[in-house]
Amino acid sequence: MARWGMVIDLDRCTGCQACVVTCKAENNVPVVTPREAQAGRLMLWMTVIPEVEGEFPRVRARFTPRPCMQCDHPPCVKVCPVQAMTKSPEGTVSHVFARCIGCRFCVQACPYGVTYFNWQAPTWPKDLRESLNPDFAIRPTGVVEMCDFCHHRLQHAREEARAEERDVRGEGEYVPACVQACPARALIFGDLDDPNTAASNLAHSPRAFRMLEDLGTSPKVYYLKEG
Amino acid sequence: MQSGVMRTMRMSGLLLLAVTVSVLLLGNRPAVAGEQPIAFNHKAHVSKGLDCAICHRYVREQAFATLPTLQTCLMCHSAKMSDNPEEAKIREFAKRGEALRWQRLYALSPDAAAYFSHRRHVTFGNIACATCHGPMAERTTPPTRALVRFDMDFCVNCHQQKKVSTACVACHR
Repeated sequence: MARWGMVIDLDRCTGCQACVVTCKAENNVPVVTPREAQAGRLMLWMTVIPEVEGEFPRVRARFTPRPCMQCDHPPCVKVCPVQAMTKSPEGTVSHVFARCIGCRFCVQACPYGVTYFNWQAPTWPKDLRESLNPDFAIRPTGVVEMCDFCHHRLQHAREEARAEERDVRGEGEYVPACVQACPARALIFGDLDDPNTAASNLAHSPRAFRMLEDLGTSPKVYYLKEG
Repeated sequence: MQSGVMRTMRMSGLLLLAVTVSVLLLGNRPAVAGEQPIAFNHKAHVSKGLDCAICHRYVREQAFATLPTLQTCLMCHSAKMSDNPEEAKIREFAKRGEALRWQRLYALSPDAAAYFSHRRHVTFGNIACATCHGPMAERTTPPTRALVRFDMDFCVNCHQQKKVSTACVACHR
């Protein structure tokens, strides 16, 4: 069985935020007003964390794309009292909105801050509302939401594979929207247990590291160091 | 005398207005839930050996089985086949250039946030239509509500019996 993971090459990321925009559109992530954003209620399942070093003209920016880390030992799943946070047999961590009681234990437990609480009913400007993705649920008020490696895309890929009586290919067939959108090909996605995929090779490269690795969460998102 | 005629005329004018308004209002209203544009007889069609997939075209190939369009009916009914007034309605719809607006009886609640694929169940799982849709093939009149009431227990029971995945994210999204 596949173990899906992502490798993010920090050398390649240009900070264009195509992944951020794509994620918002793909997963019907609500848009908040600037005032709410300042109150810390901005929802970005995928975000790019900028770090600026030095002063103009000798300035250097680093960009760190940050999806859900899809931990192998996810703290959010451990604390969820109603099993709304689940880890699938293939290792992807997903959240079932219909089960969530909005206790926000997962928000507290996640060391990466990737879970978001819906403080109010989701809103979109008119143009965006007309182009919501029908493949993905719209979350009601009072539940948590987070990146699940575009699980609905895996459901589709699985069905296509089933039609041809085989397993989902370890590479290329199922990719989250952010990976598909990255123009710099900084995001690489695939089966980490399949030695033939680019993702598993890069995850074993000496450049690879994981965010807050010492916490023991064993994320399935690997970063490749710059340089 | 004259005033009596005037009154009658005024009354009939009002009546005409009332009828026109009500026709306009009711005419544009969608049919009541469960009321179909044509009283389709499933049994008559199935007993003649027609397969479900002739009208519900994508039931084996796609997630949505789809409801038939007027063109599907006209494949056979463009010329008169019987004296049934319901059959004549098809050609009337065609003459008016109006589409058939079937009332959908089966739909997953958006709150369920679940993915259901007909292909997965019918083609891969070999599950008979009647398992979820009940004795639809026996019906001579359109039902007014779904013949089988399905909730999550209904799905999970079958998934457990057939030993297929009951992981939340196998269906929910």
